[in-house]
Amino acid sequence: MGGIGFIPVRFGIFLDIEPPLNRIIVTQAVATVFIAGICLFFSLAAAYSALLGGLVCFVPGYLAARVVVVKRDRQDILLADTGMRPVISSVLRKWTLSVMLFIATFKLVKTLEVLFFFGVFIGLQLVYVAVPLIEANRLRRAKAGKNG
Amino acid sequence: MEQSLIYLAGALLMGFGAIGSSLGIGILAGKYLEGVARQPELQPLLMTQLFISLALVDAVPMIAVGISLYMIFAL
Repeated sequence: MGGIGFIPVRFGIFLDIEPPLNRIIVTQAVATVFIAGICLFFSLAAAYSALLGGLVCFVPGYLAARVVVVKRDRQDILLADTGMRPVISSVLRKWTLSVMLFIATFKLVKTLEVLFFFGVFIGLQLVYVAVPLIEANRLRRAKAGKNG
Repeated sequence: MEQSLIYLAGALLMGFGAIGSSLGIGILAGKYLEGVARQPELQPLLMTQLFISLALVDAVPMIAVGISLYMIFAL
């Protein structure tokens, strides 16, 4: 699993999540560290604000994806379950964790650079659009190459 | 007075975000159930796509909740 798409997925802890979910998670993690590194040129506060923004977006998403995959694999197919239960459960956990992380960040971090925090947070939410789009384009190009 | 206006703004942000996302999630889940009812063998594939689409629909109210929590707790 992994290593076939535009981002090589060779991280052990992500291997139990299938593509394209793992690519989204890895892209978010890599982008968080990369942007935080760039923000170090501005200031230390900007860097850790960017890192916190990335973590608030990435950690709940990763845990929700794990819950969906683990619960889906556990459910009995003979029960003809529609699969909504694991999704609802994971979304509820994601929301709870996100709100808790937001409150913890705003309460505990006094010198937060809000622009960098929300910039990275909003930017990482766009990964959910970007990764499937890039994957679809790659597949379309591969198909067009095979046909033409 | 000013603090109560901030709370009101935060509540409005969360409330309108929740309305939009609940409409989106309702449509998405309905279509997913239709798809599973038509072709149950595609359920794992559809579920992954549902989860990604849900995350996408969730993104906008999540940002609204983040900004409103910032207004409530940090301003």
